[in-house]
Amino acid sequence: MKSFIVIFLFFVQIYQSWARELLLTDIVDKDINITASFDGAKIIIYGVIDPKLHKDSILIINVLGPSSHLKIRKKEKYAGIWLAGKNEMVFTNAPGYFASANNLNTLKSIDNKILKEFNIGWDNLIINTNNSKNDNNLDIYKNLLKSYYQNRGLYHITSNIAVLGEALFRAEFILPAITPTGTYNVKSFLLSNNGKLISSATNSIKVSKEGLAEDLSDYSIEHPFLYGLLAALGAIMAGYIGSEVFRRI
Amino acid sequence: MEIYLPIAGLPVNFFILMSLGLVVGFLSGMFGVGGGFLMTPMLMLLGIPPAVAVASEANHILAASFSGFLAHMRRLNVDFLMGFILLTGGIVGSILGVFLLKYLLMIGQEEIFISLSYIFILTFVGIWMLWESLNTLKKVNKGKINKLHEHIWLHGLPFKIKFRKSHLYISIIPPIFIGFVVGVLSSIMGVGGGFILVPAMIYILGMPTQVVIGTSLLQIVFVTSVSTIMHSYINQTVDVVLSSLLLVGAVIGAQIGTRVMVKLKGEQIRFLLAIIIIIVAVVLIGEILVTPKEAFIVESIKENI
Repeated sequence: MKSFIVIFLFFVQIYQSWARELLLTDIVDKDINITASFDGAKIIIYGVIDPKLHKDSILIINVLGPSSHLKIRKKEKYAGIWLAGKNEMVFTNAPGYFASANNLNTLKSIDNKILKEFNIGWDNLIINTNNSKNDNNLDIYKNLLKSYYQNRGLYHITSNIAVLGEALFRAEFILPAITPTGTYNVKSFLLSNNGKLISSATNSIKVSKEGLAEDLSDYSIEHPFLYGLLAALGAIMAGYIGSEVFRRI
Repeated sequence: MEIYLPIAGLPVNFFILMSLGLVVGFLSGMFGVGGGFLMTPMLMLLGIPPAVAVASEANHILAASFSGFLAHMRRLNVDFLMGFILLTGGIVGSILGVFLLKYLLMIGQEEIFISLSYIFILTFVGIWMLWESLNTLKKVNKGKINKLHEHIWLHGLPFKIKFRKSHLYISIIPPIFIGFVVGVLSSIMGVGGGFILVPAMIYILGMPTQVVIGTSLLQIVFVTSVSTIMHSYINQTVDVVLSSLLLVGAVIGAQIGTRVMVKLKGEQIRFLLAIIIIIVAVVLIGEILVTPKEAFIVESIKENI
């Protein structure tokens, strides 16, 4: 019910401002809460384009999760055994989640410059690293990171922007259960078919822990010593109770 | 039924965790080992980050070993004097181990050092124990009466003390040294050290197997209490939802394990533990020989490094 009201209000809002804007977007649920039963979520984006531009324009939506420092180490074979070696790379602003959607059937016909400029797909995503001297290895490590993300559902590229009627569009992105908490930026671009930017819009989503999950993780950070002490005492209590119960049966 | 783990940051099946806890609790009550050497790979298989797996496990093993410890204490199978002497060595060793780990991390060789020493110790201890327990089982079947324990030169060192519970009159130097070595290893490898401590108490100190198990649990209770608090304080990696789910199974398993254990002879217990240690060693060897599905490790690091 809640989402219907949101969508309804959204259309009212779009209707009012349609005349001025070429591209407008909104997200159905801007607050995603991770509770004890969290098993992934869906980001639904609605938008409207000026109908005059609708045909043969390019639409791109990128969802970027909160960025963090990631260290990636390659495993290598030493004398027949696999071990993590000395070779590593640190990515300093790797997005915790990355999804890219577009309304194109194929990316082949698109100029590489456009793909790069608007971060379409993993290969065109710009991630900084801490070491400049290892630059020739960058692609190797970036590809390893890509398979890490793909295996965990943290990276998607699709062309499934659904067009509804003349001017409306809709796109969905799946967040896996392990998706990181923080602010997600949804960047939408409207390009003309020769790659010129017509208009862009940005929305943000907050993914946060709620209820018990929030309380526990907050407490562990704010009072780490007490948290540990209580955890230890709780375990001792549980051991004691288990032992007492069993003595009687 | 999936439950979201707040610190690990992912949902895990409730029943899988319950049964894992039960198995590890059983081993803990029966053999006096913490079970960390079994649990770490299992939790990592479920997708839990290694740092969270190790820390939450310490908390869960604390519950299992305390439950087992109480059961053994009621049966008067704990040598407190021996336990505290081992612990003294253990505390010094674990502090030194933290520095050693820091040094290994600095030169970037910790992975090779840890996995190889882990595999080497497990294989060596497992095979030795299997050989010894099979020999004893054979002797018992032939009706040869065994000596209580072998006297080796280490026992004759100065500072002799009487350990009534263990029926020993030996120097305190070997127990301090054993505690020290176990402390160093548990700091480096992130394990409680039960699987090293138990064989060392049996073969080097010559303690009766039943007393060894209770005494090892006493040591594990102390080590895991300290490491639960330290992991939480320094890294904030203890997930109490994870450890609570594990410990329900664990306290029950530990009680069952203790009941099974008192029905078995020392050499039978040692034989079974040897088999388990060898299985784990074989799995670990397989892991480094087989081409991994993901030939890389990704870890999230704190900023400003």
